Amino acid sequence: MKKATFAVLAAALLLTFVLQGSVFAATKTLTVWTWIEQMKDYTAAFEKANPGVKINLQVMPWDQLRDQLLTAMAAKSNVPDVIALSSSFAPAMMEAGAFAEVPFNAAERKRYDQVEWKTYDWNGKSYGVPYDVDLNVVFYRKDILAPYLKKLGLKEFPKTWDEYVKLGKEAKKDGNYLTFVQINSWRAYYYRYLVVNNGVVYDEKANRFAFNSKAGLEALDFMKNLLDDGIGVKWAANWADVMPALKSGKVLTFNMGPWYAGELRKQAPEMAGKWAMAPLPKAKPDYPGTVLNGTALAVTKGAKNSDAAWDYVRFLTNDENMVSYFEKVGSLPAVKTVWSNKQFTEPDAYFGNQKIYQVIREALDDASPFQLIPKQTEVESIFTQYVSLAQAGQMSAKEALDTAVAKANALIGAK
Amino acid sequence: MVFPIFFAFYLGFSDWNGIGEIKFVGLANFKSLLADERFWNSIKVTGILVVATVAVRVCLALLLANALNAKLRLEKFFRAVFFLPTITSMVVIAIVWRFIYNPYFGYLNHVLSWFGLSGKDWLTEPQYALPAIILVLVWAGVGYDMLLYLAGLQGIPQELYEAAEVDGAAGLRRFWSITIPMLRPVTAFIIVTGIINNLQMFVPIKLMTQGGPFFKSETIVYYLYESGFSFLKFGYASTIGLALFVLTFIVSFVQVRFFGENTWQ
Repeated sequence: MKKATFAVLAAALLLTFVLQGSVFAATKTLTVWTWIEQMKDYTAAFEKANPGVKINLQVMPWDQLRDQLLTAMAAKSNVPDVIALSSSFAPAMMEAGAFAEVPFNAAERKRYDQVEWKTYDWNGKSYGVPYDVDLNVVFYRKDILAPYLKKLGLKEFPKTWDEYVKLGKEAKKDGNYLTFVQINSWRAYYYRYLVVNNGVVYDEKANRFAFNSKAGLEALDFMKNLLDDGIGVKWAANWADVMPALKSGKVLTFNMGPWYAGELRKQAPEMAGKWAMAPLPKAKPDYPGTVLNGTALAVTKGAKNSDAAWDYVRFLTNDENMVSYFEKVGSLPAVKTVWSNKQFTEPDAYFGNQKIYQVIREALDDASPFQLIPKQTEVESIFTQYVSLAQAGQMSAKEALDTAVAKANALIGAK
Repeated sequence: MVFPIFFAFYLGFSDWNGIGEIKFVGLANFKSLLADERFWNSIKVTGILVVATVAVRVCLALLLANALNAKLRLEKFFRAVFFLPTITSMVVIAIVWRFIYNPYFGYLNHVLSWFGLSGKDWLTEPQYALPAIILVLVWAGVGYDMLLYLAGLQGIPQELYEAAEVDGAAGLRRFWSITIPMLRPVTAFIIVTGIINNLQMFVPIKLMTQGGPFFKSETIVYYLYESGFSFLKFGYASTIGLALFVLTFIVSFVQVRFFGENTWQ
């Protein structure tokens, strides 16, 4: 009797193992790291459409994602298959060979506005599939600014720096600030002023850093004057500062990605009708427009389930999911195939029936791709520090830029 | 436990971006390190931070401990108030202080305005960032030192004070000639542990200033972190780590010598 029981138990146990084994064999787990919480919503649909693939999606802040990804890659264990990619850390990692080349064919690539690919290209190869369009637009308090605009004889939000500064001076008379000026990140602000002043960070023909040009100096001066003249208010990228300042009406505009429209709707529903959107002013009307970057999706090099990983990326970026992603997040989807959908052509009630996606597309048509530079993070950190010194008035703008450029060029061995 | 130590040591002599191959480069990293002004700056910043933080903590803790030892009313209440920051996570402390220092909406400038003082942009002006961080570190650590001193004070035999009184020594004289020498082991402990801990300062820097403005608050460990995780120079980061190890060793050695063997018994 005992023996029989034992045999049955053993058989049952064995069967369990075999069954489990077969279940394991059929199931691939894709590990996905992202800071975009809304990506969770596509897991169930993908798993249903792809039996045998499970998604293990982990949401974390982007800087933590970068640190964990590097730790995993250095240790060669627990490396995720798919990650959300930000241009703030992508170039250094692309340079180091962290990601697999995007295997999209010509037809797949054509779904995108071609300028979008440039943010995640390195040495002629693409390493990230654009997921959303991110470029700065101006969110402005139409209700408060309208009388000033009228007084200055402007029909719309300033398109040039001169008009912009005039508007700022009007706002200042009533004790309000026109905008935030971010001072602790070179890339976030100074670079944006540089581009719309027809400047480049890196001279690709001469292979050297070149933003101590006339355009670069003017950009830094412009930024510094915004603060010195009381038109701009310093912002150290502390998000908790933004919404209260905007709600109080003390700061009348905010330069940010289109996704911020969603934040306004969510956090300031009572301000519906007071806001409008405009492209970022440029130094001169014929200069290039604002910087384009955005989130991309990347598959890590040597990912265990590379095929399933690309299937997942294709799934997230198909037309239907791009539209629904937009509805959740509010940033313009990267694929232009959906831009004719009514969501992107209808007037927006929150923005006083402005067609905001036309503004974004207008800005996109004019946008400059984010310039990829060698040793990006290290160079950025040098620039940020020198710009902060010029900003504090402890070094002249010229000296700060000349020194930063010299150090950056030394770093890449350029003369 | 042993492997990572040797691996880090090996990395210090290598060129590695964390992703590709590890290349042995001999002493090249050390050569760059010696010529790296950013590294020397980080040593200077760390030095100022360590000395100022520990010195202020020691003095303030001594004063607080003596005040509380004088049988104040609400002694337990004050003791708890001063000790609370010690059991609070540094992450939370840094975030809260970032709010306090905020130039537009922060409490500090608001309070200063009551006294007619104009506020500063504490974390983004080159001359204030490091002192602002030091203040946070003092605030966060002084309660712990105070408790150590309180315990030390209670361990001083009462007879010494009585004898001094008989000899006609006044209050301050007794403090200098009895209290301070008798607290020497406590002071030594606070200074040595304080220096070792603060040499590795990172969290408040990362959360409050990111080493800026103009590297004015970039400590050795923050530069190490940036070198590794931002610049993908893990080999060089390990070299910085080795330098920090040597520095810590030297500083500790000097201190043990300075305080003498007997202090620790």
